[in-house]
Amino acid sequence: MLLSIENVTFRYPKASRDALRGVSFSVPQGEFAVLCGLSGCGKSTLLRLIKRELAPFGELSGRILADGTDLTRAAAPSESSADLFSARTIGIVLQDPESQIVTDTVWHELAFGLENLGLPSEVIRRRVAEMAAFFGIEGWYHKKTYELSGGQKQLLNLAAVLAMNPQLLLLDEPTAQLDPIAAADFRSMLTRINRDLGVTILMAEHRLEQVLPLTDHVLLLDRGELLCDGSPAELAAFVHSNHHPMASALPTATRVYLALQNTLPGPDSSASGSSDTPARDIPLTVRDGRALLSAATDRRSPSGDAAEAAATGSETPALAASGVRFRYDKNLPDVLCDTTLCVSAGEHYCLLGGNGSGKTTLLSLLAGLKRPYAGSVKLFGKKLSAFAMGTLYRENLALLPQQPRDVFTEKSIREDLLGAFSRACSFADAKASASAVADKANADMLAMCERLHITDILDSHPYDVSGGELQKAALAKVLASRPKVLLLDEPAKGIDVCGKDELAAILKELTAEGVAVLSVTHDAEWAAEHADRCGLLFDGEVISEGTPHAFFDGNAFYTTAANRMAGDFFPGVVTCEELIRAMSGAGEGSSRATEVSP
Amino acid sequence: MNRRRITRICFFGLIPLIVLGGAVLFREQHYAWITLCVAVLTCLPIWCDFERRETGSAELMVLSVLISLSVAGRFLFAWLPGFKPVTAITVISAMWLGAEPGFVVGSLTALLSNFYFGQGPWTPFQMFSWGLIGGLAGLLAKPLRRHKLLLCIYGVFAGFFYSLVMDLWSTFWMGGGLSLSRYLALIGAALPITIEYAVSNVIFLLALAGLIGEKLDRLRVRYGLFREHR
Amino acid sequence: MDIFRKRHPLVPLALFMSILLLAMFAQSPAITFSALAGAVLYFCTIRGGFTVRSVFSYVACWGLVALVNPLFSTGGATPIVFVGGRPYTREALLYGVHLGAMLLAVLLWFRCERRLIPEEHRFFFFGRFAPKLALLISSVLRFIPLLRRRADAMRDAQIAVGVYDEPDWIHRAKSNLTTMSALTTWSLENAIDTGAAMKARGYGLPGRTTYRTYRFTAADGLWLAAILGLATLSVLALARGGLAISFYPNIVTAHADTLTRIGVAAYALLCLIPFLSVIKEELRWCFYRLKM
Repeated sequence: MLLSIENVTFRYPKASRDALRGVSFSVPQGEFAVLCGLSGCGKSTLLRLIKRELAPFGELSGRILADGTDLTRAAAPSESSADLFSARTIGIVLQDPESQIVTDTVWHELAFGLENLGLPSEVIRRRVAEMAAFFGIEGWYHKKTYELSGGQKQLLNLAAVLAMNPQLLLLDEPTAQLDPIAAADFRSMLTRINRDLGVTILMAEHRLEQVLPLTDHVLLLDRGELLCDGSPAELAAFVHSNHHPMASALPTATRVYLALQNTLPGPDSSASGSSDTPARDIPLTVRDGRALLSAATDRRSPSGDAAEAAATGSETPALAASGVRFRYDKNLPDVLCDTTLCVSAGEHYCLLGGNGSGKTTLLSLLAGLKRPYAGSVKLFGKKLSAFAMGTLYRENLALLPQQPRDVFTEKSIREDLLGAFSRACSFADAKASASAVADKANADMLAMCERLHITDILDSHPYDVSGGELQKAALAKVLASRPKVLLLDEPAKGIDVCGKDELAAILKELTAEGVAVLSVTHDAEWAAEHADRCGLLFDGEVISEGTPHAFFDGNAFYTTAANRMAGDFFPGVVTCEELIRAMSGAGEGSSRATEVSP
Repeated sequence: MNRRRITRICFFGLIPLIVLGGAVLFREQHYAWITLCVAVLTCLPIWCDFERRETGSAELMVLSVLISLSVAGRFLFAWLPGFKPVTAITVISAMWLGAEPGFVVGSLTALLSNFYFGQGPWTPFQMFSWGLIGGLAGLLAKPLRRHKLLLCIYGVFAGFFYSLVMDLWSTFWMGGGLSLSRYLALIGAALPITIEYAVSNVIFLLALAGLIGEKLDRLRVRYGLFREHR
Repeated sequence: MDIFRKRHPLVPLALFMSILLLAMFAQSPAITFSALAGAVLYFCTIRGGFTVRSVFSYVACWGLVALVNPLFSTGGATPIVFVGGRPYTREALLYGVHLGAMLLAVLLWFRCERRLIPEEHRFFFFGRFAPKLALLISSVLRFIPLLRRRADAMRDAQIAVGVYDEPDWIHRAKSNLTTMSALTTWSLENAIDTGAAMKARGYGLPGRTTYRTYRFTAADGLWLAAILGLATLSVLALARGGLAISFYPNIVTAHADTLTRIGVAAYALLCLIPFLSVIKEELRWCFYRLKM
């Protein structure tokens, strides 16, 4: 066993409960293991305990053995020899691609770890060259690290760690901050490393959709306890039968299979959800899913009527961009060219698009942070520039930036929110006395926090809470001004299934109250499940637009896994739930897929 | 080890030789030469000491961030010559982190920001004066942290000190010798800018001291950084 | 064109320092104008080196220094005019011309330095003698562009939550300070993360080495010997006093003997090395093309 964790229990100082409780498992040499669980389940803590240089302070009991050497602080014979062992044997890549880079050039970054190991220049030169060749980064070897894209940065981090030739590679949600294409590149690189170099990998990840097909060993952590230790199929069966929240993070094919396994005529229908007789052939990929479908459905159902009434009425849209053009510099090409888009009140519009399609630029134009050189952006029929100083961002428009941290400026979330709410209150009622404003602001703030379930983190520092919590706190701050139009930049990035569902519920409430929501995202699944309308931005233009059904059903590739799986068996099916319903309905001979409203 | 000692002996043996040789060789300009040598040679031992001392990785990165902030500050206010937060950030770093880190922040800010604003013979003098301003603030850290008024006075002093050093070099180098009247004339000509330095230092010190200080305090409490410097 | 990209960093460094120090301190028109000529010629080969505007400002700067100097020093013997009762002398004017040329030469050589010393070797001395400072410098150079990008993003975020809503400049300054505060928090937390990543990659282990991308080859030795030889010749000429000049009260130059002439020629050659190397590369390409 390359890595064995023996009965590890850990508690942070001043914490009321254990972060890890009696965790034991082992990872044999050459395996690709995945550690999954919701955020806050102890994944990161465990990885950091294994990588002793990053071990947090706290009470630790149990043993962590890597290659037979105990890595826990108490057991280390001497600090520096254990550190040296750890530096040589274990590599770690963390979530944020940006903050792990130390130096200003790619070549120096690759050499950095080797310098620390005290290797002579000749050896470093060879290793760096090897790594550059293996990762295909010769093309940007002489570049500055700040010129790289997020995906390239994360690949560089991986290469820099791998140059040190570790036996065990730990990864803490390494693709959470990447766009889907870069994330896929990164994962395929991991597979190569595992397969071609024989490096053992332990990766923490909560998005099972992408990682289950890669691995043969999954560990499920829940509130510090190891609930499941087995193959992907065993895990799928376990979370399904126990109604664990991670069940909704399973790949679409798996979810469909598990939901219908008792009704489906299949070779393995005998293997029911109980975890002691694991289903061997649980489908994990779209390919498996399609095979499942073709076995289950002998005939094609008639295509449903995908024409749903478009939500746009005759009234003025809440936010409309028409013929917008923008470029960053006179000599640069247009980022946006004749972009036209409108969002109505009470609607959730999802704008999808790849990297560099100009999504974020469009968002900052819509938010009035940048001005188009042609065309106009109108809020309730009034040009953004016509809003008097200081009225645009009060009770009108708000933007939740991609990094929710950016909105926080104070020492605690409470101070930040109080500031925002008292600004809103004094604007709403300019004549109110200071104490009345303070009282009202406090009451409003607490009400908002109740609504978003963030009351218990109010006194924390904004950098000390989890991504999902920070997202909600930032949303609270942004909502303080009671906007009628809410713009969100990648709201679903890096948060787990529960966080996503919660966020979606909040957005649903807001749209029900008549707020227009525009979210810009890479995430097709999120858009399909939660949007009222979707649009695709490509080459500076919105090239297709429609309800999620119409939109995704028309796309062949840029669509959800459920849609790709359903393909022409069940046209019009876009989300996993619909597919399940359609398939259970198919047995009775009617397709109701398109009756489901999103 | 032995080789390193030889390097060191060469290094410290060569220095006086270079200074004296230069002074003889550049007869007309020996004042300028010697001032330049003083400016460069003040930095060397302090840097050497910093080099030898153990600095944790996070501490090193915090220094890097402070230098970056102060260089970026020079950008932010590039349109207002003389009005920049460099001195303030250097002094604040020194007040919270100690004299030596303060010197390093000041001198490296000068060196690195000039890669964007233009290197020249003035670089060593900027390194020297900003470094010294930081180092001195580190020695006076306790009183400076306690009294706002003292901090303001230090800001004014720093503004004048910086200006006087730069003018001294200009006098020596361009005037070809020691000339008090030229020095005074230069000081007089630069007086408005000097006052601007002083005022901007005070403004930035008052605005940023608490703001950056409280964040550095958080690092100390939460991550246990920079403990031995205080 | 990076003429010294594959050379050991000592080569361009020795060249740059010897040209610069002599130009700065020698106080001799022969040296000054050689340095100026070398810099101007090399600068012409740099794409985007001279623009109409920059040439104008350089010449204006030179003229200003020349014209202003006589107002300060009245040491000369030959007055041209009297300004406010003080003589405006020919010698002082010529001294100013020389001073301006020297300032310009030094300025231009500093601007050439960007091309002369390849970027990855710029901090050669730090990397060699002070690896920790070199690492610090490297991380600052990484962080500055990042910081500017984040500053824009944070400002936008603050604008969109209504922080910048008041038009008066006091509020504006306060808002800027708020952004600065957010930026400071972010960058310090980022520093902690980077520190952790460094530690995870073994920073702090004893016996750290520095990766050198360069090697000292025989060609480097030849280059270095040539540069130092030429520099020594010019220093010898300077030390003999053959280059001395005094401007006040009358301009007196020392007698220039053969050794002095050789020294000046050596210095001029030194200053022409960058330009000649560029020309050599150009010619090599021309011939290569012709043969094809």
